[in-house]
Amino acid sequence: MRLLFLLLISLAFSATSQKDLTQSLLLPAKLTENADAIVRTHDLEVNLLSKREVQVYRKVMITVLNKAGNKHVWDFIYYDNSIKVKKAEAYIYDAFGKEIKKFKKKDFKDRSAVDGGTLYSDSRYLYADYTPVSYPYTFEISYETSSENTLSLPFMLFVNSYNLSVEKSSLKVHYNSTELKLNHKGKNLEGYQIEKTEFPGTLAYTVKDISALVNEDFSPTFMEMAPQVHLAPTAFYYEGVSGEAANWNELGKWFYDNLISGRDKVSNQTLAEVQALVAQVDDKLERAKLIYEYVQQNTRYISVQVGIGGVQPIEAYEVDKVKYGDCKGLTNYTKSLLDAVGVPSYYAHVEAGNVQVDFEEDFASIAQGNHVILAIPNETGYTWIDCTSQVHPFGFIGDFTDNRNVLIMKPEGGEIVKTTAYTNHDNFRKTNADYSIDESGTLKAKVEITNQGIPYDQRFVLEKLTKEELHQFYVKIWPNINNLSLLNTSFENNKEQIRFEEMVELEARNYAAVNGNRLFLSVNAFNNSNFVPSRYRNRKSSVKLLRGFLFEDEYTVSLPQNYQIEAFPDNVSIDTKFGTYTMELLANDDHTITYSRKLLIKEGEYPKEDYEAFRDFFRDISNSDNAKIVLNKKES
Amino acid sequence: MKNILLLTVLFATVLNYTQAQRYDFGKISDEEIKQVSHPTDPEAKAAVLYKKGTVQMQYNNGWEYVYEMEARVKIYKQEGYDYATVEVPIYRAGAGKNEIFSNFKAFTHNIENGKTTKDRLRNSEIFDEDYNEFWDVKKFTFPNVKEGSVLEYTYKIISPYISSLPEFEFQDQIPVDYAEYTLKIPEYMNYETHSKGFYPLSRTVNTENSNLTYSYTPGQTDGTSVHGAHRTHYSTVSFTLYTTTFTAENVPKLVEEEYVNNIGNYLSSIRPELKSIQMPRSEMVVFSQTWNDVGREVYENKSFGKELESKNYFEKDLDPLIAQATNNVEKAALIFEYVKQHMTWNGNYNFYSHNGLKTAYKNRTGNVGDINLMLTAMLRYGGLEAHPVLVSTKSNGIPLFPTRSGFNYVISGVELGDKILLFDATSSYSTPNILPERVMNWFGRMIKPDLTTQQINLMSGIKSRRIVNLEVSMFENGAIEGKMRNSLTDQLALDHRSNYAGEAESAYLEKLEKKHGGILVSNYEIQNKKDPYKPVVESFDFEKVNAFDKIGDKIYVNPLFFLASTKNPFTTETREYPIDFRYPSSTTIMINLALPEGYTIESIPESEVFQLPDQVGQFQFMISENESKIQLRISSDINTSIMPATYYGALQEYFGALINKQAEQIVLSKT
Repeated sequence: MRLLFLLLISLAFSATSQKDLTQSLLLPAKLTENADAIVRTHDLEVNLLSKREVQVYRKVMITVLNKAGNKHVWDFIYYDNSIKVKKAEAYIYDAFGKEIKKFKKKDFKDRSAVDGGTLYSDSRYLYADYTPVSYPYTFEISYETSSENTLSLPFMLFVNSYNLSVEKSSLKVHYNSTELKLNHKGKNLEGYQIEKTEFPGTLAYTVKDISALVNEDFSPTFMEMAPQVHLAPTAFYYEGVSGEAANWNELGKWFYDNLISGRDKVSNQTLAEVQALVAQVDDKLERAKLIYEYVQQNTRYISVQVGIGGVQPIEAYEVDKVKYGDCKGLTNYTKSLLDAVGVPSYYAHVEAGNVQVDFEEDFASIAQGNHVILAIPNETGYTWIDCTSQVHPFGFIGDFTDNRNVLIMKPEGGEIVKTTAYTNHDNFRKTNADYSIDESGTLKAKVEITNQGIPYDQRFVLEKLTKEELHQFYVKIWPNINNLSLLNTSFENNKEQIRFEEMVELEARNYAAVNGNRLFLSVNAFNNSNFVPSRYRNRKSSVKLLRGFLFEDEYTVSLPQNYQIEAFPDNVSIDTKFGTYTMELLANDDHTITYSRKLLIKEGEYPKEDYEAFRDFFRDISNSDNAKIVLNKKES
Repeated sequence: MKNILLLTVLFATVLNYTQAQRYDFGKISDEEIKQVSHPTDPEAKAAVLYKKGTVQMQYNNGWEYVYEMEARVKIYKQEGYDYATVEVPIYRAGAGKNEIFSNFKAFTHNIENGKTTKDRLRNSEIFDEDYNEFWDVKKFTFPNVKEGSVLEYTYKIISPYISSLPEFEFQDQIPVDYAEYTLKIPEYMNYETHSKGFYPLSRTVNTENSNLTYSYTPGQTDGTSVHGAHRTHYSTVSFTLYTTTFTAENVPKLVEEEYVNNIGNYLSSIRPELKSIQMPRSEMVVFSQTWNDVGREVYENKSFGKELESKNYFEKDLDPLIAQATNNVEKAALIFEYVKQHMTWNGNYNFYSHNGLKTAYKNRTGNVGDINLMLTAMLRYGGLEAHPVLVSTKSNGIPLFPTRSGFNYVISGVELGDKILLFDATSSYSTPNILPERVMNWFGRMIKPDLTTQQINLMSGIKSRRIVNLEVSMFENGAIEGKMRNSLTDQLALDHRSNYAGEAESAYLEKLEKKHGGILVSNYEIQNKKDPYKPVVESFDFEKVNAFDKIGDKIYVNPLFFLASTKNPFTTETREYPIDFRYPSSTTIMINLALPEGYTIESIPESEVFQLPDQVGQFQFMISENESKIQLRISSDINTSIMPATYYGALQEYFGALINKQAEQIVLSKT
């Protein structure tokens, strides 16, 4: 008996020591914590045979632990006209490691990868369509692609997503060291078990045992936390154009000379129109503003990405003819018109999105950007415009491209420059209200809201909305006001000052709760925060506040004549490292009160230990915002 | 006897006498180009000035339809630029069976410096997206689009897929000034034109004579032939051409509303479906025209009826299971659970089996047809009266008329005595008669073995219940602590299980705390998390600071704390469409509130009852006090799944009143 037992144990050991990754019965506990799936192995191999030939081999094997883990399965292969998929296969294994399904290349489904915002592109993907029938299971994919284009190489994310852990993940690059050098940049690699090998012609990384990251509010983005390595060759080829560049200056120069320069012709008619437009104006920025508005009125954004058109702007005369283009085309068109009226400007490559992502100053690669804007030199630096917007004021880029390093392409070379930042006090919303409450609890109010900075960006679309859409909008931003009916709205969009004002007249039945002889009134009607950040039993990431804001509120409130104040909340003043809050309530006489509130939130990043204090700050604000005045009917 | 018909047919119709058309392609009026806003909807960002669709039939080695489409669109504002991009899906099933897109023309008309200009959209600017193995998408966007532009386009599609003709929509998210759909159908074919939507269409039918020259070869058994056998004959026949025209004028934009099951159900459209076809000298082929025809046709397809008969692939596995059951209900439940556990739905719809049930069974996965036909076959094998029930899912719309293409889903219905139990094994949390939301869409059609059909109500009649018990103690410092128990039955339980099934407990608790105004939860327990036959029961301890206002020596407290509803779901002022609550439901909240020491009750809200008309809903607020305790019992019932729009005003008032009631406060004062 005893002997048999030992034998079984040793068999079990030998099974695991073989390290058969297809089985998923025995998994290390530290990898299952917070994980819905485990990357057993992820190998990326990039062979840069010459500046004009790159082969990519990838093998990913993922064990899916539960239904939520299915989204982590790597079951697709992206390609386009320039990327050939040479080999592709996929296997599914059950928990014991037994193969239950196999996909050969012809079994993959082939789909267009054109997304909703794009009219046309040649991006496609193959995918292995599999419905899991039990958990855990293991999905293995391996494929090989080749391409002539080496300007953008794949990069390695050693872990791809939240709630996904990694047993082993590796990158191997072989490159032709006689022809080119390989620049590379690793990020967020500290604190992991990493082996790195580097000698001419080879770069290799292996990372082991990455625990699953969890997604928490007010944390840095996944890309700011995940270990990764980016690659860029110093000599490359892209759709018929070769180049060499070891730094931003050289890359910008190559880009300017080969992809932008000489694509600036427009029709004589347009030329005459824009020259007439600026004839009376000498100031360069004033001229630029007129041209920007001309482009805004006459063009629209349509995205078409095919071949070299994925990086090179379409010629200005094409945009001139059809009056549409993508970010590259519209930016180049605007730049061409500016050139025509003697205003210099620079095409700028940027990573757009609500979260700021900087171009790395010490690592040059085109793959860092997804959007193009235009930089116009001014006395102190640059004025930035986004030529894909028909509505933004001149010089205002909002939260899409603010405060980040971008690459501007000058004829003499590329340069890394920071875009306009909108910080703390710049992002200002002031709400003035004059309102009355009658004895049935009905609220009647005139509200004036002024928005500047990022709040401008959030609100200036209001002037385009229909009555019904406006109704829905105010219902949404004032969830504390039931039975809202808008009596009148008007807006003033001051594009010079970049200030947007809302004038709203409204009425709401039963705003104040009538309770027998008492009336309960939440004084803060128009900026009432119910928001308390989520509680985390074990906060893992630091606290990051992307942008700061300043909110000021001032309300004058008339109370019904036949009521008197029974209870009145105390003034509040809170000062924290995350910001400050004050609330003051003043009874002018029996029937008028003044409410003032000021909230400043400061941008910044704080250690995770500060999260509870951060949460308390918002909870205290919420409590104060919701405090009520109690009124009592006078004995008559 | 039968003739082998039509090697080639030359199909010639007499040219239609055309009247001076109200809308002609290319002839833009000054008024249209100068218009700055829509005359009846000044807020409209764009409008369809007119659209016309015409279908004609032709013979070309088989019948084809020719669909010609033209439209004129006015852009008023930048936000309407989306309407300057058009996508036309083209079906292609394989060699020789592709739809053909042709005769494309498109122009942008503008007014510049007082003169009208015209820009052509070049053919080279049409993008051809190879979407997947079945569909291509033709995409184009107009040049030189500005506020005020008038866009015109026309194209033609020739398609061999004549069993249904293109669906034509008379309504859009923007106003449609005029829309016309014309069907020119020879007497040999009979199309049922299913129309839906709130907006009325007018219909005219004209008949005219037309000629058809065709060739045919008499069959060998055709003894009546006097011209000698096996020769090709040419013949010209006169026939009647039916021209049916549907028109609509000044159709307002379709407005999305909350609590609508699928807005598409209310969009005015026509979808013609082939009912029968009879060529000269051949027999009539009848397609669906009654529900029984639909049932028979579906059943006779080999991926349906035949599949229901085969049982060899599962017999061995099922026999021991069936042997355990002591009665039919138990047997049905055992088989249902077996299919749920054995099979995983791959997410694909359809009422036919995809690759056959045997393959699906082996792979343990399949589409809806695979899973629920398999279930039906197994239930029948077990001796139960089980039948497939055709369903149109919510996203697919409501099949108002007998039609095959109106359905996209199948479930299983079991007759037990005079009751029918419905089963859907695609969802692991479904139980008999508790169906996933996608299925709960008006009526389904049960197909019996004698090929008759029966209408089945898919809207749940079962009232789903939520019962909450709350024990709360208040402390003078503003904190509360207590216990909460939350129990959910039927659809509410199904929703809860499907929403949170894949979620880790810690992530769920974070949501739970947030949903309840930031309480802190501890000792969380859940019963019957996975067992769909029992209610979901959650219980936990909670605490919260700053849970009420204490001002001076008075306390003001809402006795519902974080359970009060504060938001009226019906915010729009008017309502067009029925209000879909999905299923009848009842919520009961019972609260036992222990007051802080040293305080007495100064005032409490009054008990009150609110009712909706015709007993469709009721809200009760019952409160009683007892020294240092307050008891509260609140119940809220919606007794029907769906209410006509005429109830909207009453609903708005009702929700307004019950929200006010739930905002009322208790006042305590220090003794």
